[in-house]
Amino acid sequence: MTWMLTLMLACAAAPEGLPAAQARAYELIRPSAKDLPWRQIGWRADLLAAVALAKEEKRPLLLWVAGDPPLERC
Amino acid sequence: MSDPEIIRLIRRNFVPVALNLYEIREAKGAAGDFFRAVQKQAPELYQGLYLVTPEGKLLAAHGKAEDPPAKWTAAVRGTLEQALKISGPLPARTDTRGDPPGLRGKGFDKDGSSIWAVYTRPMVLGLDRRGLGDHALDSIRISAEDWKAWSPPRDAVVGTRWSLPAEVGRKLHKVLSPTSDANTLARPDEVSDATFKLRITQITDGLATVRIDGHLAGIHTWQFEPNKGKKIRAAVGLLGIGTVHLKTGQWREITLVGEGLYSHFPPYDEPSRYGAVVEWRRD
Repeated sequence: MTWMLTLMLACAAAPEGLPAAQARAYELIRPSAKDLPWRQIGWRADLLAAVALAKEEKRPLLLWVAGDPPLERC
Repeated sequence: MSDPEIIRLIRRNFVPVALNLYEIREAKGAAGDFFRAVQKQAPELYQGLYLVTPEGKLLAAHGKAEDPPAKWTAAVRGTLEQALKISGPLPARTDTRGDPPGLRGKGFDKDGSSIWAVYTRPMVLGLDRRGLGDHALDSIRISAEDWKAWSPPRDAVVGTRWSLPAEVGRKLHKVLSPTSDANTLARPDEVSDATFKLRITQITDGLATVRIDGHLAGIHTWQFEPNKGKKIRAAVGLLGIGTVHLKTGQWREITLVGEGLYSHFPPYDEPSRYGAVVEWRRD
């Protein structure tokens, strides 16, 4: 199933009912999974939970800090 | 952040956390205290990456926007490697799952609001792939009150038309820039036209299909010297489709596709074409 899911994400199809030109534009504008590779990273949003996890795993944290919601950036 | 080696290094070695600077630096309680203590160790950094121990000790940081991207990638990789050098060898993470995705583009928040997903992209040659630029992502919060304006009248039939109040239409101002950068984007109060006309084209088992025709235009005044006061102009025509349950007035999905013209401030004011998509689904 994983490859099917990947394929579905990679080819975000335009919703039914859009005129052909808009459907084509939709497919060009809306990024696919391969356009957003940084989303392969399993980002955490809860800092304290992430700190607890880092303690448990005995490893550092990476904090990605941006002025807008950071997962809307690449 | 799209470099495969950087993604591999992060996934293998670190617990990755994405934080909104404006929220976390003001946050009360332990999370805010943790971040502020980290921030004090790299006072020159505004936005960027902090590599820290679970106790909050800074190992390395990077925040400078490097140009070209290859230079930025090399600098970030160097920052990650610096942190790994200090922390010593680490076993590879076995569980790299993150938190579930938020509400962007899907569902409702507790207060009945939703977050619509926005994508924009330069398309200087229209639908010709050779003119495509980088994707930009953004989002729009639609309140429960806004939703009421989007919904059709209770007695709607095929052919029923209605319009959005301009103040609701202005919420879509984020489509007024191909980069979604707030510095280039008309704010809601800078939107000069926000016209949205909706029409029911079909009803099947109480589910109405709605065609949406929209137009947004705005003029943003640049805020910073030496170009303070210069004007950035953008206009977008949007065409979309959605489905809404007539009995409840609740939408199932909305998709808008737009073609825009963007003119940066002089002397970079040659109008350039770009595209925009706005979308949301209930499930």
